[in-house]
Amino acid sequence: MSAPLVPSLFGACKVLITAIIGIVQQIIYALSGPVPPLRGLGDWLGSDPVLTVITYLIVVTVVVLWVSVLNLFTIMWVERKLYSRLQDRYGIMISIWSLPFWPFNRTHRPTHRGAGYLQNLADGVKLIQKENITPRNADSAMFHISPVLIAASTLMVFAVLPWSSGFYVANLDLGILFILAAFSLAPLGILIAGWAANNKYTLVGGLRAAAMLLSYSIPMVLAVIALVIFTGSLNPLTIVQQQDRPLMVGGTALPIPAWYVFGPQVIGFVIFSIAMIAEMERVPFDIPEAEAELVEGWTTEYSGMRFGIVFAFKWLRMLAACALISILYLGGWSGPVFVTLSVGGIPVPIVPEEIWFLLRIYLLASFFVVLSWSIPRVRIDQILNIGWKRLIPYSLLAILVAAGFRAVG
Amino acid sequence: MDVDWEFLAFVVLSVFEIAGSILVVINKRLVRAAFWLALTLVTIGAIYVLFLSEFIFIIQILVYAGAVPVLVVFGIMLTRRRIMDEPGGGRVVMLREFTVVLAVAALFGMMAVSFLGPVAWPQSGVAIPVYDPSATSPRGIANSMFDSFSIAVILIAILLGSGMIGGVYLAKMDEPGKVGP
Repeated sequence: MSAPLVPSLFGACKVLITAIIGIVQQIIYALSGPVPPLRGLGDWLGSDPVLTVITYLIVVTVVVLWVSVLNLFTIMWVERKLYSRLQDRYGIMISIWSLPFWPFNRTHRPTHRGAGYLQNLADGVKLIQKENITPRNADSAMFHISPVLIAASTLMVFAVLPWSSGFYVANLDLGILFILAAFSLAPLGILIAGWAANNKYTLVGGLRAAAMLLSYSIPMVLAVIALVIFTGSLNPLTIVQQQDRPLMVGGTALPIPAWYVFGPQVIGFVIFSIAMIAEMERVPFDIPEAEAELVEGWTTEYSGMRFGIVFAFKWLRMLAACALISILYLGGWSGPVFVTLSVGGIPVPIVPEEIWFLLRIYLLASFFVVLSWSIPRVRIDQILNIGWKRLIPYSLLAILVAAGFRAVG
Repeated sequence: MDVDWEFLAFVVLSVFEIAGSILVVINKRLVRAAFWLALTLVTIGAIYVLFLSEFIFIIQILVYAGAVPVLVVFGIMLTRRRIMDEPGGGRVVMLREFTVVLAVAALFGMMAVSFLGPVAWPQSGVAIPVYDPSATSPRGIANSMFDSFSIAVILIAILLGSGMIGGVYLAKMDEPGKVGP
């Protein structure tokens, strides 16, 4: 019912790399006329293990660029433009017409009245050219290594997260569990970052962030357990495949798909979404960052691109959280392919799985943005109360309900 | 030239792990020791992957690298008077500590030789699945945990629950009127 645009990312990259390495090989063979040892280099370069290794490197590069350039810019643009329009102002407006070179520097067009998509690129360039300040008496090694820790643990998520049934780096059988484990590595980085800056406000922000993130990991994992009772598998491809059929209620097939949110998992869906809002450190669980209270929270002392890294990775975690919610509860990338064109013998689906997945991710992200910019911030003791005293019992109830439904049939 | 990549990976990971564990112990700054502890635990998990047990690797990352160093750093931060207060540096040559380490190392070496020698270790990693649905050969982790060792699992749960309740009781003992002695 749904078809991917890229049936296998590894296969597509292998074809591309074989072509490119074939051309390089021909050049080396032509050069090995005067220099004979180059023929061995050409043979080694064209051999299958070398091609596989280079293909994996290219696959990882493609996915990292897809995530951290295209999708990061898009989700940052969605957030900044949406909350600006909610506040009845224009928002970010630096776009392609702000570039100072031809053909974009037309004098009859206003330069700073565009759609705003390139604003984040401009912000990135601004952050790169700023000074990297290390506070005096800060623990220099820990101060510098904690953004690396946060960045590494977030990128680990995207090694396993599939974007359609063919667009992934690795397909682990325990993929969902790996993603949850990678999410749980971040509190250590945030705690060390808050402590290492020799600033009592960042220390407070870091302690609060670690307490909140750890306590909301528990209902997150429990909600996934309630889901796994139904799916029987932690493989994201299997979970999405199981949601690709029409919903059966007592033997009759309804015209809506069998997403896990339309069933007894709805408790798990609500709990998982709330836990994910806390893991993303968004308002209402914003107290670690707490603009206007703790300056910038645990990231206060970071300047320049280090601040850019921790700030951007907050949005990457939001991307990963929206992707995870849509894979687990909202049917992932399943959706009808309305038309299939045939371009030179290759069938191209008009609405492929990637488009459905991105649609779900950005709709969820828009919902989280509207939620964040509408409701007030919750105090840290109230946050921990909600996490331990309300979400954990409800997630245990979700496990019981799921087990009961599964036992009855 | 045939490179045994698994052995090379094992050697590299072991170097990281041994270096990390030595750095945990000899470091004078506690937060750096916690960081090296996190690194050591993650590389132990990576060695589990070499043993074809990726479920244990993920659980190791989730529990050990995600929670235990955070616990250690929380303990450090809640017991320091000033933020960057470090424990006082000790003397350079620690004779008593070195003799204790030598004695323990000798004992450990004797035990290792006598226990690890006669065991028939398999030549390559044997993948143990998380759940083995066939009832004949109970080789899965979940099979062992919930069939053979179910009483141990329940007892561990009771122990952890009583530990948490005891911790909350001890924390609340300062507030008058809440809990009595």
